[in-house]
Amino acid sequence: MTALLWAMVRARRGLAVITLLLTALAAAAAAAGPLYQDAAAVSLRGVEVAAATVGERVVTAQTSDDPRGGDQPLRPYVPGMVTLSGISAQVVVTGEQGEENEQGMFLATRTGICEHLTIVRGRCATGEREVVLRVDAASELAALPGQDLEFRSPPAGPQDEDPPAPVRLTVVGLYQPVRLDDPYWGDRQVLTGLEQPAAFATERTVAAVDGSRMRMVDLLITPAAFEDTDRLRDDLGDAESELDAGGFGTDTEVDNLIARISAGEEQLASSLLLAAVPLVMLCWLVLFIAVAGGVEQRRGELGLTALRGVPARTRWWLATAETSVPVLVAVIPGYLLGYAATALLAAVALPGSPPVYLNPASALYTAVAVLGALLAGLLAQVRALTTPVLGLLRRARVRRRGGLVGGVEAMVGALALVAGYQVAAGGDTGSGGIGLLAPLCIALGLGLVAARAVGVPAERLGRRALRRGRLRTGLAALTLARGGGTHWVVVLLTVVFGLLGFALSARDVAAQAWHERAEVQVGAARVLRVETLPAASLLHAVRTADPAGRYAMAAMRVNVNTETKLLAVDSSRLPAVALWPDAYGATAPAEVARQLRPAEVTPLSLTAAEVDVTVTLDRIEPGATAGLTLRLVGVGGAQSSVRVEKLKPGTHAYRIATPACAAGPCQLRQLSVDLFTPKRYLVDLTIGDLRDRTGKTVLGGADLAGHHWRLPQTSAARPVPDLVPAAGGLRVSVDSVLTPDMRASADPAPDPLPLVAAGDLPPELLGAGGTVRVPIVRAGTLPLVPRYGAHGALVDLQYADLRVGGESDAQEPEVWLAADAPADLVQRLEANGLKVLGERNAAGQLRLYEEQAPALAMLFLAAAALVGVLFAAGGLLVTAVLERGRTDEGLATLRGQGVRAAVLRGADLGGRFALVLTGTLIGLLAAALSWALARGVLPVFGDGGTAVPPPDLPGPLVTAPIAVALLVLLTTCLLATRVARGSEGATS
Amino acid sequence: MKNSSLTGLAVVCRRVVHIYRAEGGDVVALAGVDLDIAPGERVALVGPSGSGKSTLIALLAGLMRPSAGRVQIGLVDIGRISEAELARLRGTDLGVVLQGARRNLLPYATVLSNVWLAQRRAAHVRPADLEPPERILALLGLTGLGHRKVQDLPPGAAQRAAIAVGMAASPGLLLVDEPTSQLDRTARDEVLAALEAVNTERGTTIVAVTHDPDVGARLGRAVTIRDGRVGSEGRDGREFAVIAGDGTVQLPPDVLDVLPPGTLLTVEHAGGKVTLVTDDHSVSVPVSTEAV
Repeated sequence: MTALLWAMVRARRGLAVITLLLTALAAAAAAAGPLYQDAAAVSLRGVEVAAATVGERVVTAQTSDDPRGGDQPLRPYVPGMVTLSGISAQVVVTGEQGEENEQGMFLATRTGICEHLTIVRGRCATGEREVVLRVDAASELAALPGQDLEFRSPPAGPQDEDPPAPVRLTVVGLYQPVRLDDPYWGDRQVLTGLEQPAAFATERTVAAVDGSRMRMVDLLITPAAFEDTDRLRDDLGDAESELDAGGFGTDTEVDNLIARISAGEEQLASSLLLAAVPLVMLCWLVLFIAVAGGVEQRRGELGLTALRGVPARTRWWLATAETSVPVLVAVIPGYLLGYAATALLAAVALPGSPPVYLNPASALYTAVAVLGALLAGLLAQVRALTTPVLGLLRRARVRRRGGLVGGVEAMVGALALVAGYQVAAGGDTGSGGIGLLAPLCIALGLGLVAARAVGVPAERLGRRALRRGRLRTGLAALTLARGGGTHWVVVLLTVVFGLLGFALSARDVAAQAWHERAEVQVGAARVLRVETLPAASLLHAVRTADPAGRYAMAAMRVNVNTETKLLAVDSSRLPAVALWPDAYGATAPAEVARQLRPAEVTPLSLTAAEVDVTVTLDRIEPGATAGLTLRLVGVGGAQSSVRVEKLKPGTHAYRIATPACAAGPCQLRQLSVDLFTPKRYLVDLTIGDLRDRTGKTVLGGADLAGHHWRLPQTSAARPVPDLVPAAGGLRVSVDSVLTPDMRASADPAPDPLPLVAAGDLPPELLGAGGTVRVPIVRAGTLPLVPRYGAHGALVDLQYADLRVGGESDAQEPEVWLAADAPADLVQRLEANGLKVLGERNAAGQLRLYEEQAPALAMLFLAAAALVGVLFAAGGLLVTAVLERGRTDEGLATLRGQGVRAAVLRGADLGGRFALVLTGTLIGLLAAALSWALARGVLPVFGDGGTAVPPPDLPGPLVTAPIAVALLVLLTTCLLATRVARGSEGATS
Repeated sequence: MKNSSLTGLAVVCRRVVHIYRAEGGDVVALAGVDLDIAPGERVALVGPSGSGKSTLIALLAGLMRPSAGRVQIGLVDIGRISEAELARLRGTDLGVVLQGARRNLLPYATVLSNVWLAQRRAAHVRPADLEPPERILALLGLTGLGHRKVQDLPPGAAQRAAIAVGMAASPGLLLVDEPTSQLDRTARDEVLAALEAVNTERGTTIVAVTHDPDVGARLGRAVTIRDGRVGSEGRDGREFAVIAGDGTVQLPPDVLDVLPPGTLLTVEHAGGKVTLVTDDHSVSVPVSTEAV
């Protein structure tokens, strides 16, 4: 048997090699899915951890340390995490100049501190009583390495009679300010020195300082920790319990990161679980074509074994072995090929080039692929093995009537189409998973139906062409209509192009969406996150640093109580600074700026170190006293309130100190009358000119009277005063038994507040924690707005500050920078009082999107679809190889009847071209259908964000790879014609 | 069991009719063949092309089922048995050698492998009676060629190898289609000698289809099929007309020349002689009943 089998395989080694190769490819494709999934997960963890905020990467725990010291410090161990511990103490450092030059600092220590400090002078503190200072802190203290400084705890209070004894430490080095985004520092202000600089020393040195100390234990998470997120959660829980038990309070945002990584891994799993299925099925299909063709070639032999009455088992075994031996031989090389291809793809295309490890899932998938290949082989020979002996022994193949088989195929095709529709319609948007089979089902269904249907018009065309004497066209069309197995090639090509079109479209659309979202979400080429400060300070700092308004723009979030998020921007700078992708529509940024800020506002401002306020008190409830408070905002945004304590009846000038307004103009933001009354709230006064010491009017009463004043929300229970212009200035009067709200805000911003929005807007906003109603008007509409996309609105920052800013700081203040912002702009901003906490940029955001789970999945899908094209080319060559062994010689028989060889060659090539073009056309149709039905199944964003919806249609560039694929296949046709003809010379 | 494998099988055909169904109209290939072949007999089926001899041998081989009538091999009516039983029969008692030696052989395999493959059913059903392939090859004068690939054999040897494959399971009936076509004289003689050897040593019944009258002569009994019926039969150099089961007789061609179709005859049977007399008494064909 073995000898016979060996002889069989050797006799048809071409077919055996093809079978082996195809099975190896199927096995490789099957193995590649799970292998890639694992590698992509590793890559994803790296990307997500790198993109995470510091807060998401550490678990911080702290407790007040007993100054007397205690047991061994608690250092919980969690696999995949680095445990950092240390202590810190608040100290006052006295320099050479004595108490004149004291500075508050944190004296701290931390595991591995010396490896993380950048020492610019001297060395790190390693010995006892040594300390390193931050460069700027040292220069303020005029301290140099080698110098001794006194460190002591700050006094607990003014009554502290026994101040703690100072400790003298030697400065041994100076370090550079640390990077805030380095997770090593764990976002701890005592270490990063955001408020007070930190000095670092050894633990014993820190312990030597009297006073209270804080003990810190931080767990720093590495990407490796996320290999098993469930275990990580358990471990973290254990560590937190341990820390809790040790008296530590813990704090972390790591759950957000775990959730993101888990979601990403789920996306990968759902997108990649079935990603290799089409590829494996393509392999099966080509294998089926190959084996069916091979069986066709050995019909005679099969007939012979039947004629000899060889037992059915032996017959099946002989027929099967020829296929199954190469199939089984292909398992291990196929698996290794899949491994190698994945490793290559991972090394070249995956972020971080993760290593690829063999995993059980890939082995299982390979087993399924090989089993499928065996079945495909068996299926291909069922027909031959069940044909009666005489049918097998006949030399000429009887052309079967399409009837039953064709009907079954058409039915399967229709079912596949329906299944594709169901799957596409049933899956949630971005759910991946089974929905990813929709393009395959649709392409397969359409392919099966169309491959059967295309025969009829092709035959008609062929006959007509023959009647008209156009031999080449006629024969080519008839080859398409009748050629044995050609309809399988049409199915194959349909599936290949269906998948290719879909995968490329998905990737193209996703790339567009990533680009748009990166630009929309970041807003500008670079965005600096700065430390919280009043909006006016932010505005002032940015405007001072970039007076021309060309490179920088202040922005902040406005807290409103609606789904629509509100971003305040310094709209005059919007056109110059904000990125303006096509997704924003046709409205130009300058137009948006104009809509946001229809009029310049002139706040009430004054410059004087002292002012005399003229107030005429006309009426007041007997026994009551009235005062006047002015709220001022200085140049740098510093807020101050100045007060006239008690107003006297009649007209008087009251002198008040306004130090905030000495250096430059400050804004009068609010005035309020402070009324203390035993009975009725009755007052009538007029606020007149504000003059400086020289008597010059710095703010006229007429200005006050003419200004737009906004009164608080009134109600029956809470009256407000009347504000009317009067001869001497602004007249404020109230007469009520209820306590009135006597504040009036200077608010020249337009009312209602103009907004440019995407999406729906409520008629009014609720600002200041829901206490202030802000009427709004939609001044313009954009499809998407910067930062918040489809569910957001823009407002002018200055207007917003005047209207809803109140006394609070700006929310999430930012400075947006244009791409061409000069290098020193950040320094200029910092010089103007902004403290930059971090930076985001559109390019980085885009890179992140391009490295997150959906991108990694789409990369595989596109790669798989392109490999599919190679399979199709392989399929074309397989049919050509099979034609060589055909007993009926195909078209070549016509040569005996006088048809010229050139015509036959032309017809042969034409037939193949027609096949490829038909398959391509139907395939692209299938792709379009799949796209229409199932474009939502692929997740586009790792966070599932919908703020920036992806475009509906891919760009024109997507046709380029398709054209290349078509070109490859047409070239393959040329080769196939040559391969098929190779035999002609030998046989004829 | 031993007997059955080493003794020839009888063949009985009774009123066998075979009709090919075709789109242009049905074609009657066999129109009531009656034929008896005794166990161990050697019979040649001769006749012009299209007479139905290949159809007959296909029916005997079980490749087709007769439209009507009975084809019995040994005790089995092969028109009525199932495909599985037929397959078993082909694997044990019925050897078939198709026209064209190479159609019978796997070209890439050795002669021994081919014989081995043909013995699979018999090896399963009656392993004790299985003859070693080498002995079968020796019987057919193929000693030493067993390890040769079929594609490397000369035509005569290939034909004998084909017969060896047909004989591999030691069947009781060997059907051979055109065993000597496209062979030179020497090769033909070798093949015929081989067939004779098989017949004499094993007692195998041999039915061969041939165009070659010499083959018919060498096999001893030559049944001529004409127009789908048994036309005549030659035995030991003498030619006989055969009365079919329905009583009809095909007249020899030379008689038909003088008695064209449509001629009315009177059949006179007197004194041990049957005489066919035309209506005008111009022709009479006396037939002696004693001689039969």
